[in-house]
Amino acid sequence: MWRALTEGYPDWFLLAGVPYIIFMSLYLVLGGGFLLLDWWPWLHKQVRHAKCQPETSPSTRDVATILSVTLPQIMLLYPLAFVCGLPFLKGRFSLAEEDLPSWREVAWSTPVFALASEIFFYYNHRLLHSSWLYARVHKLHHEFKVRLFPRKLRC
Amino acid sequence: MIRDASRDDTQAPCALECVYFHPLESVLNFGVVILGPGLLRSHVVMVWYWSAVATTAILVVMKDLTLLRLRPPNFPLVFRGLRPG
Repeated sequence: MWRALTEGYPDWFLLAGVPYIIFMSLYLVLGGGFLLLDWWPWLHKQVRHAKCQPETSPSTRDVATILSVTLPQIMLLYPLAFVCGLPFLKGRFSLAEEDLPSWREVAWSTPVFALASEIFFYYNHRLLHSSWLYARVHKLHHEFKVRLFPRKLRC
Repeated sequence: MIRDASRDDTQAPCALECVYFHPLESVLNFGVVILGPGLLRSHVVMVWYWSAVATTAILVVMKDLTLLRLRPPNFPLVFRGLRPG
């Protein structure tokens, strides 16, 4: 089945193209769709109980600012990064049908992936908060100030 | 009273902000998705799977949604004493 599904697609597309499409689709469809939770009054009412800040909603100006930074990167930088990383991806990940994971493998791999992501994120983020890197790289991310705590915690 | 200097200039949570990064930081953050499957030398479908899970998770978190009602309901009460007036 794997062979039939992937037949005709080059390795680079399976290794880099598909993850890129998955990310881009989710970012635009799910991320864009989440705006409806704020901007469509009926829908906002339905999910209000599940929001940390039910009273707030992003403005069109905020969204335009975000997209002016993220979209050029997604369209240009991400494909370039995938192309540069292709030798690594080819050497690290299998495309063979006999290496397809079982459900059991998926189950035990998931917490390992989560742990690896958390550890990587922690040290990466800690590094980005060093004074040199913060001023030159990470400051941009914190220019967009967002509170993820319940609004009631404001003192 | 705890002074909240950033109260007036905060924006509302927006899921699209999850990749609002400097280009270098964007590239570094690829590691969040690639590291786990790379360490285990997984099949490429696991990269697809983890790309979907990690992207969905960060979008949900950045959109301030409290799934499964994980937020303690009495949290504001705990901090009631910190409120002014």
